[in-house]
Amino acid sequence: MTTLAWRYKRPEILDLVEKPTMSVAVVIACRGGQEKLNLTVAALAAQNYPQKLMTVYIVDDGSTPGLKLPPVRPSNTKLITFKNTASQWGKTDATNYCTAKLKEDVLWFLDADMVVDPNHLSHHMKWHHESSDYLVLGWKRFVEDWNYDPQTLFKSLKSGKFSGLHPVSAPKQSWEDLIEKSDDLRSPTMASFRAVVGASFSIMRRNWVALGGYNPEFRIGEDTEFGWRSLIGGLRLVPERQALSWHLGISTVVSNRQIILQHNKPNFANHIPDFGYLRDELPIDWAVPENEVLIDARHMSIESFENLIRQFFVDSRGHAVFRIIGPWRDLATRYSPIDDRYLDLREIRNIVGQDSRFILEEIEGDRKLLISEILDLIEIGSTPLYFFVEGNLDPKINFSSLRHALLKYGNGLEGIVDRAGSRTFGIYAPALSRAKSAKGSAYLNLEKCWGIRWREIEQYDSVENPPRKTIVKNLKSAFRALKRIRSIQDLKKYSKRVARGIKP
Amino acid sequence: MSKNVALTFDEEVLQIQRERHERRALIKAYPPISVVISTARPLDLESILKQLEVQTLETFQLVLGIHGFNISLAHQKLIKKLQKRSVDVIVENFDKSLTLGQVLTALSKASYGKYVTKMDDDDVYGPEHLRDLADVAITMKADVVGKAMNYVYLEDIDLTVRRVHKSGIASVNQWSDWVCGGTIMVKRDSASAVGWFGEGKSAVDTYILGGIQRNGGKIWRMFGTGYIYRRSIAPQTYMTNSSKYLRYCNEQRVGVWSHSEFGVQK
Repeated sequence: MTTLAWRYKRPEILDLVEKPTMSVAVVIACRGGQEKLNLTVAALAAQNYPQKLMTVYIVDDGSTPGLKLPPVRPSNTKLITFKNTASQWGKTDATNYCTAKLKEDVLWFLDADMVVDPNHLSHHMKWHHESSDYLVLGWKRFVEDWNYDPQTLFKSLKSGKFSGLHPVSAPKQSWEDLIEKSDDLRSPTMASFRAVVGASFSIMRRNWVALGGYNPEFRIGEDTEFGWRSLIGGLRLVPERQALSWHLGISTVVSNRQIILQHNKPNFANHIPDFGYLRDELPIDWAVPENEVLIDARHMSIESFENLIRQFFVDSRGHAVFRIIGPWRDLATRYSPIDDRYLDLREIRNIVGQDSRFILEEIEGDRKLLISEILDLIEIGSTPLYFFVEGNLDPKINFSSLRHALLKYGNGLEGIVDRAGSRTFGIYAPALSRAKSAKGSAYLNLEKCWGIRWREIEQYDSVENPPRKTIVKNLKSAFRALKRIRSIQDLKKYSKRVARGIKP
Repeated sequence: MSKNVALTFDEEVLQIQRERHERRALIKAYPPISVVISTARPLDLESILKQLEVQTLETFQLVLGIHGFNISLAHQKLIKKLQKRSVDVIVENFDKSLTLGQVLTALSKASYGKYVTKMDDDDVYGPEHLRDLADVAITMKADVVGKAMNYVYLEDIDLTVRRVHKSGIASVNQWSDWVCGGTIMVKRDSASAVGWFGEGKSAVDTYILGGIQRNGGKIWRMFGTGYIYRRSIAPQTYMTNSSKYLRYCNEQRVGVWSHSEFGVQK
C-alpha cells in the first residue's frame, strides 16, 4: 500500500486511465461449463483495456471432459489444468494454485458465467491506478436466457451493444441493498464484507498475497471469507457501478439456498466473527476469536485479572483469546508460598495456564511498554478487535463500552488512562492493518488514516457505562472476596484495594 | 475535551504570528541574553543543543552545566556549530553531589545576560522560543516572562495534548505567579536580588518565582505555543500521571506535536 487514505474516503469521480500501465491477470477457475466459458472469454476479447497488459488464465478444476481454449479469446489466454487429488480440488484450491505463480500487478477474478461490458476491466483498473488499497467489485445483473454465440457476442460488444443484449434482467436485491445502505461502501460496517462476491472482483496481487489468498478451509463461500479478511486488512471496497456485466443464469446459491447455508454455516461461524448469530447457538471455541486481549499482567492483581476475563466471558460478543505478558520464567525459581513476590501472577498462571484460550508470553524486566512496542506485539489476523490492558483495571472500564466506542466514533484506537497511569485501549483491526501496511510509525499512521482518541478515566462517557449485568457481576465478585476474608491481613489487603478504588 | 476554547490550534498560530510581527516591529535591538541549562543526561544534551542551533534569536550566551558526566565528541561538534552561529558557549562541570539549585544558581551567576533564561534539556522548544520570550520581556517590561503549559508530551501514550483554557496554568497573556519552569526568562537584577534559583534539590522554579513576587516583581505568562513540556516515563516506576494532563485537553496528536512552531515536522 503506497498511500494512506482517511478511513474509506475515495474520489467521487474517477475517469478511465488514458494510458494505463498496470498489468492484470484475469483468473477464471472453472469446472465444466464450456459453453458459458466461451461467452465469458469472448467478452474478454472485446475489452477496451490494452490487450498487451492483460493475460487470461482459465484454470480447469478437474473438468470431464477437459476444458478447451475458447474459440474467441484474447491473444494472451492460457489454459491451466489443476490436477485434482483427494484433498486438492475445487475453486479455492484451483485459484490459489494458479495465483501462486502469477506476477501481474493486479488479479481480476471472474466467474465463468459472466458476460462483461467492454469497459468493465478499465473501470476496475482506474481504481488500481489511483491507489493500491482497493478491492473493486463489478456490478452485475442476472439474466435467464441468451441467444448469442461467442462470435456474435464479440461483434455485438464491439459495436457498443452490451446494454441491448438483455432487455430483461434482475438485480440481486439483497446485495444492492447492502451497497446502497453503506453509501456504496464509503461508510462500511463490519457487515460490509458480505459485499465481496467472486463473480467479478479485482485486487492488487500483493494484497492478495499479503492476505494469503482464499482460505483452503472453504470449498464454497471462499469469496465471503476473503471479503472478511479484506475488510479486516484495511482495504477500501469499491462497488463500481460502471463495471457492468450480465450473469448468465441464476446463481447456484440462490437456487440451492438452504443446502448451501447448511454447508457454509460451520465455516462461516468459525472464521467470520461477524456471523455472531451463528455463534450464539453454541458455546464453541470458534477458530477465529472476536477479540484478542493483550494483558500486561506484571502489576495486576488476581482480582483485577478475574474481573477482566469475566467481562469477556459474560458478553455474547466476548469470545476472546488472551495473551498474558509476564516474567513467567522467574516463576520457575524457588519461592516461599508465604512470602511470594509473584503471588498474584502465580495465581493467574495456575488458573488459566491449562486453558488454550490463554497464552503466556514472556517479558523481561519491569519497564513500562511503549505504545509502539505494544502495537508491534499485535499481529492482525482475522480478529476484528484488539485490546490492551495493564495494571489493575479500573472498575469503571468495561470492554463492551470500549468496543461500542470504537464502532460508534470510528476511531482506530480508543484509549483510557486511569488515575494510576494504567493504560487500557481498544484497536479496530482494519485501521491498524492499514497503518501497518505503510512505512513509518504504525501509531502515527493509525492517527493519520483512522484517528485515535485518549481519554482519562473521568472523561469516560456515561452512556458507555457498564451494562447493568456487569455491575451486578462486580458486586457479586466483591461479595465473594469479602467472604474469603480469614485474617486481619486479608482484611487489610481487602480494605487497601477498596481504598485504591479497585474492585476488591 | 473542554468547550471553553476560544481558538483552534491553526487559529492560535495565525494570531501568534501576527502578534509576533507587531511586537518585533517595536524592537530595535536585543539586550544580551543568556541561556542556562543544567543537564545530567547525554542524550538530552544532544537534543537541546540541536534545538538551540536553530533558534532565530541571532546571538545569545549559553552557559551549560554538565552534571555528573563527560561531554562527548558529538556534543563538542554541536557546541562548535553553535559558536559558529554566534552563540557564546561556556561549559562548566559540576560534581554529582551538588543540587540542581546550586548548579543553576552558579550557572546564572557565571552568565552576563541582561535577561537570563532557563531551559530544560528534555523539553521541546520551537525555533522562535528564545526570541519570543525576549520580545515579550522587552515589550511587557516584566521581571519574569514565561510560557503557559499549553502543550504536554506524555511519553507513556506517545501523545502531545493541547490544553488551552481561560483559567489555570493553561491560561495565557496575563500577570500571574506561575510560568512553566523550563521557560523562565528573568531580568538579571531581579533574579540576583532573590538569590537566583536557590540551593535546593528541587522546587527551583518556585524558589525564583516566589522570591520575585515577594520582592514586588511582575510575572507575565505568555502563550505556550513553541514549547512542549515533556512527561517522561520515570524509570523504575509504573505510575504516571498522564490522566491529569489528558483532563481538559482540547486536542491531541500522536508523538511530539508536529508543526514548524515546535521545530518538528514529520
